[in-house]
Amino acid sequence: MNCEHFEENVVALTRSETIDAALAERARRHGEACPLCAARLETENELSVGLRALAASDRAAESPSRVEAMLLAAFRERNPRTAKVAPKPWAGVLSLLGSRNARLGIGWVLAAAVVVILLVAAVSAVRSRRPVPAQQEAHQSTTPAPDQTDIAPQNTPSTPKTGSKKNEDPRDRRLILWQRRTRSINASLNRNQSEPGSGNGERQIATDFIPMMGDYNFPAPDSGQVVRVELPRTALIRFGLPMNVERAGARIKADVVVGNDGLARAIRFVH
Amino acid sequence: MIETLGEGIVTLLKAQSDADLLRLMMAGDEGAFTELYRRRQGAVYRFALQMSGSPALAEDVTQEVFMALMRDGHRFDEARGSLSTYLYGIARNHVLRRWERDRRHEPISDETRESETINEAMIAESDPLAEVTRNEEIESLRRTVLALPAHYREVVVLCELHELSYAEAAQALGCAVGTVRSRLHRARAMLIERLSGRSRNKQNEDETEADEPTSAVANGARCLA
Repeated sequence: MNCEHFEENVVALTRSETIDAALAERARRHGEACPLCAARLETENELSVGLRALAASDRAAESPSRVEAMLLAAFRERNPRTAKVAPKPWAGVLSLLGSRNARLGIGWVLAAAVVVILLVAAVSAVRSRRPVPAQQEAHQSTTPAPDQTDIAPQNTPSTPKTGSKKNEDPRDRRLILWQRRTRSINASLNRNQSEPGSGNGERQIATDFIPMMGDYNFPAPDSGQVVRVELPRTALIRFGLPMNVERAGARIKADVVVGNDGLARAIRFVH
Repeated sequence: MIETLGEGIVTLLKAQSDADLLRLMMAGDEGAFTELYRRRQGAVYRFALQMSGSPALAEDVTQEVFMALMRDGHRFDEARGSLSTYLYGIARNHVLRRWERDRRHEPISDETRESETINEAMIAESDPLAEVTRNEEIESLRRTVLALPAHYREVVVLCELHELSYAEAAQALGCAVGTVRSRLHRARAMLIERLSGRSRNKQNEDETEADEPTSAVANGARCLA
């Protein structure tokens, strides 16, 4: 390699471009033999260092926020229909979900959530008027906190163990009876979720059903419907379940058993 | 729930490619436009700033680029290159157009002036190649880049400061890859020559090492054996 050939490749060598390994080796040998070309390579390297420093010093430079504001105004002017419907970033969901059906679906979910929240508020009001049975209190206080996610797995015991003297209480017999009934609903729901083709590939963890009316004297439903809703996580506390305070602002899914008489009978929380 | 939905959508948009965001934007999706703008405005603004040295012009160009995208975004063809290079191309056209309108933003635009002496005001007092990472050298280098003829400056800005490949720069500039390569080679040589010239002037003033070349390039004493 001579100096002319070296000169042709010096930028490629400096910028770490992909060049033939043999060519790079010849250039390196020439650089070792020719002090002028070695100096030339060093100068190019220094320039590269300087340009990288210049690029780094400019990296934080951005257009002022007023440019974005002006452009957004122009965008809304050009798209008046969508701008009225979707003035916020989250409104993009509507265009991504793309349809009136999606909007209707969201509306129904919102309506259902409001109904359930009102229902829960009413139930808690009723509960606050009644004295809480001592046994139930004991049950709630002994309910283990299953894990950091607030929700007891399906197979985690969320009720007191049977076989103790307390279970001889007639209230506990009602509790066991109640649980047997709701457990069959639970099992049925879980079967449906795990069936292939059910469209729900995610494994869900759920609590046992908890009576909505505060005690287990309220008859468990023999038939009815199960409605999936979303509730504030604080609802867990209302039913005596532990709640991760850090996630108090989040929402949690729940299944509500509605009897044929239209009354909500039981609820379970699903994760 | 709405807020949760909103956060989910923002996350969804962030995961979209530029081309997908552009499609949504052209369909009137404001969220997509905002995301695309925030993703690309920095590069467009910096390109215009490094080409012109004028924050005001860079601001105008950034605005014009995204206005043009709103208007003519359907012209973008993903098969011909990335949206990023497409935006650089629009930005470059707007910078050139602004220079035609207002010559004062272009310090040296005529190729015939390449060999002219650099304005003494632009000459740094220290040796910019020796300690180029210092701030004053960086500013000196910035001024030297700005003093390059436009068609050399744009390849330096794209390939060196924005780290585009030759192919990407060629797409942005609408020229051949070989043209980008040769212009960059020449531009770098000019930068070294000018920066070394400043250094040599300083040395001459000090009357030290008067007979010693500061660099091999400066004296052009290359062996051609």
